[in-house]
Amino acid sequence: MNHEDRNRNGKRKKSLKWWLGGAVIGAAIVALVSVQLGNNAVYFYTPDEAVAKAADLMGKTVRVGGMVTPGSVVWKASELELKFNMSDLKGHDISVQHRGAPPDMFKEGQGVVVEGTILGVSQPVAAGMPALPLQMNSRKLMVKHSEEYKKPGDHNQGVDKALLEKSIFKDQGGAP
Amino acid sequence: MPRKLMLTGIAVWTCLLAVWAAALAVVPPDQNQGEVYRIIYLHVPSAISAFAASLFLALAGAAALWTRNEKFLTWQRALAETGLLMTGLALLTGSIWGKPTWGTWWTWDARLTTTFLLAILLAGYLMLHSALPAGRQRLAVCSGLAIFIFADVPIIYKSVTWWRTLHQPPTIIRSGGSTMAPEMLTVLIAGIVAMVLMTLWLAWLRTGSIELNRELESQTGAALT
Repeated sequence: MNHEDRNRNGKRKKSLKWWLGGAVIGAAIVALVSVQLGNNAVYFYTPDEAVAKAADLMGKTVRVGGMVTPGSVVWKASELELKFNMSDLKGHDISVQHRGAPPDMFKEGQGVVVEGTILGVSQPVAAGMPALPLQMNSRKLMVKHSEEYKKPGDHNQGVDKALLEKSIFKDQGGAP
Repeated sequence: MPRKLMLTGIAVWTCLLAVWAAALAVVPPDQNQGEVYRIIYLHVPSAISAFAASLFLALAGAAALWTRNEKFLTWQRALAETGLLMTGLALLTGSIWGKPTWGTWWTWDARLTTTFLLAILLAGYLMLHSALPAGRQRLAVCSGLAIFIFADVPIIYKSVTWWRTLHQPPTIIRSGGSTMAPEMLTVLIAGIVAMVLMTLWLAWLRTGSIELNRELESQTGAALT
């Protein structure tokens, strides 16, 4: 390889680096702008939004966030089958079925974000009967915990739950 | 290593090791999360250090544009490298914390996505810096980008307030006061201070080796970096 060749190679290497760097920065700017403008693209729907948009969302992969309804959790360890109800505490409920062990912090009254598919809109069995909850098949079950950290034995129960509700339903006029 | 740099390094490392010892042995476990929450004493300080590095990177950018002094470009590179290190550490410790508590290593919520973006921006800065030939153009372009990158920091910080996220909202700076037990909070704040100092010390250390590299390059004519 003579001197001129080496120079040309060096130049090509430099310009490749230029383009690569430019592409990375360009991609970053696009991502930054889309995140900033993406106020409308939500990370998760609340149960009332999911219920309202159920017909549109059916069959699509969506995330729904809410609180695990106390008393609704059924866990069959031998079949790795988990069922629970998720609620916005304002009367919008979603019945979730999940295959696999729940995260360690999963419990009744906890915040959850469920990623999966909305199966169908249940119709009331008869006129005057309460509506059955929307069905959802979970593929990824995530726990949303609060920003509170306290010592074991600190008794301020309820703060944790209030913070969670505020965080999950923050743009819906606060907790009921 | 210059004496001043070495003594500062010993002091900063001592503080950091003391905080880590306290985080592991002195502070109580968390009522909800148990022992696993202790990673907060590494996770939050790394994230704040990444913010601090980005702030100083932007300041070095402004100083370089103002004075046209190459010294500030050296600082930019050192700060971008240490900032990337801290962003990576924040992402890594966050992921390790996320698996046992949230039940997932990663999810594309606004906090995680905008932090990932900071890592890409800093890596992009370093690629640009190494691709451009030394001169006025490199100084101007790199300094401009250095300032631009900082715009992501307030977005990362406010992401958990502006948008629905899996990540929880701020614990320390929030209306109504901190939601952390006082003895935990003291150690966490000490950890943040120590880690930010460590980040700046690492950047300072790195400016020396960047200078040394440049001297060697100019003497031998070979590209070392």
